[in-house]
Amino acid sequence: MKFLKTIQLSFVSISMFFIIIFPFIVVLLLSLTPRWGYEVIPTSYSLKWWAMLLQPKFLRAAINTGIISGSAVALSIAFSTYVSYLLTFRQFRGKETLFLLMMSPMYVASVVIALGLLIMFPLLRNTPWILIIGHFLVVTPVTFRLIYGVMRKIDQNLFEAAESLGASRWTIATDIILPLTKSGIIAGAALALGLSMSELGITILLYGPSWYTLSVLIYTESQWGSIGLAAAMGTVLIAIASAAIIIVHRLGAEVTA
Amino acid sequence: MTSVTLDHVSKSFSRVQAVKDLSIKIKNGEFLTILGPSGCGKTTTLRLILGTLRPDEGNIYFDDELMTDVPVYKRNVGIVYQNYALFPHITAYENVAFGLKARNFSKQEIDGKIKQFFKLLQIEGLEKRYPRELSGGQQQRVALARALVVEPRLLLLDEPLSNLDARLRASLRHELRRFQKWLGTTTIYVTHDQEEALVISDRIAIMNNGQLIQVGKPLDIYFHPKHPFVAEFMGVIKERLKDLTSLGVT
Repeated sequence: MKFLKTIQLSFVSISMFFIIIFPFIVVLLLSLTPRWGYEVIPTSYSLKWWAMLLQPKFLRAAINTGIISGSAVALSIAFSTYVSYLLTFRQFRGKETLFLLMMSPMYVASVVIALGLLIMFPLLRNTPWILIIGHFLVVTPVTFRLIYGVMRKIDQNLFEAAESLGASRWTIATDIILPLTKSGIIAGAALALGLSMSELGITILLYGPSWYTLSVLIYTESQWGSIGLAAAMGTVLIAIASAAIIIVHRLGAEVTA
Repeated sequence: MTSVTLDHVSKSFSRVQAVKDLSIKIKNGEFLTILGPSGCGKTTTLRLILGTLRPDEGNIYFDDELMTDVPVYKRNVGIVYQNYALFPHITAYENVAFGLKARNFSKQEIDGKIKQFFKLLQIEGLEKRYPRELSGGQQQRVALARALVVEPRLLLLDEPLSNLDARLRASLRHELRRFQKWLGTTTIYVTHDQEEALVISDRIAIMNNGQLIQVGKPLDIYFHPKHPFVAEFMGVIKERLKDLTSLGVT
């Protein structure tokens, strides 16, 4: 039996390596070599692709990504926190519906969301706003799930006790509920940032000539054959996403959505 | 110092009628215990007085003031829960200061009052600890200090001793009674423990199925039950005493 268990474990770890880790290593190697033919591993290395990332086009993409993902995540965190507060501490009809509504973007194909936005907001084309709205929709189910998961576990008695001590609703929200939801908010922000920065499905339909993101450039550059350049940008995104995952993992004990 | 009047108060949750046509007057400075089995409506009654629930019918008065539609934060009612409900992310000191800050006391006034109450409740030296660093009994005292430091018109206690071990419970029970007498705050105490109710209260109100069955002094309730339910419910103790006597303990 022990033998079987060993086989099982090694099967899992080897397949994990090939499916998850291996592509990362290939991307990293690709970004560091001028040419990769039929060799098993590249024979020559250079920082040529990384140097090209300093061109205005790529800097612009990085800045755009920061603006769009930053704004979308900030808006999403604020909105999800507010809705979670309503669902947890207020009594009203239609809570179930509101919950489903918050989760709905997750179940709709991103292409459909993008088309809907293009038709609804024709004036916002080639502005950051349409991308921010799109990314907001993509990340909100994630931020909401994490924040609501933490907030609804707050003891209702804390709210009542604070109220009985004469605190206003605003004081209770800022001094009691927000600090106790902090872990969910940080985890939500980190995960949403990773998700938003690598988002392509919606972005590819909504981007304009001056408002494009890193993920769009990775896609178009690899379509044009500049695999090395795409790989260098990909490595940057992987680094940011890894940082996000580590933050979420550190808070993992507190966050169970 | 406040008397509380519940005037034909009823409250239902979707299908269940939790409190049915309840009328009672709690005197100024009195220690009243609401006693009954779980689900009898005692906690609902407490929350109606606290103000987190609004009665479907009837009215609640503090002295002669109509309180039915006054929100919780304006009622000036202190509450201590079974699980203490201390704010876990701030220290014992900040927990007790919370209500004073909400009332815009100055820093010196807050400091002075907290010192006084930490001394009164014998929790000096624990000011900088977080709730998770305190024992159950210490948390209970901090919760009590937090509720009392704002000088509430009324103190509500929702099974505050049930989470403690038997010995601590017995000693805290007497201490609680002493504080209450000393401060003179009208107190409503909710419990399902007959013994606790008998030793701590001025009067006991027995509830079952959302209805008030009998109100009276502990000894009256015990020796002159006016309803079979009261006799049966209080009888639990008589049985226990009989067991103890037969074992030669008392």
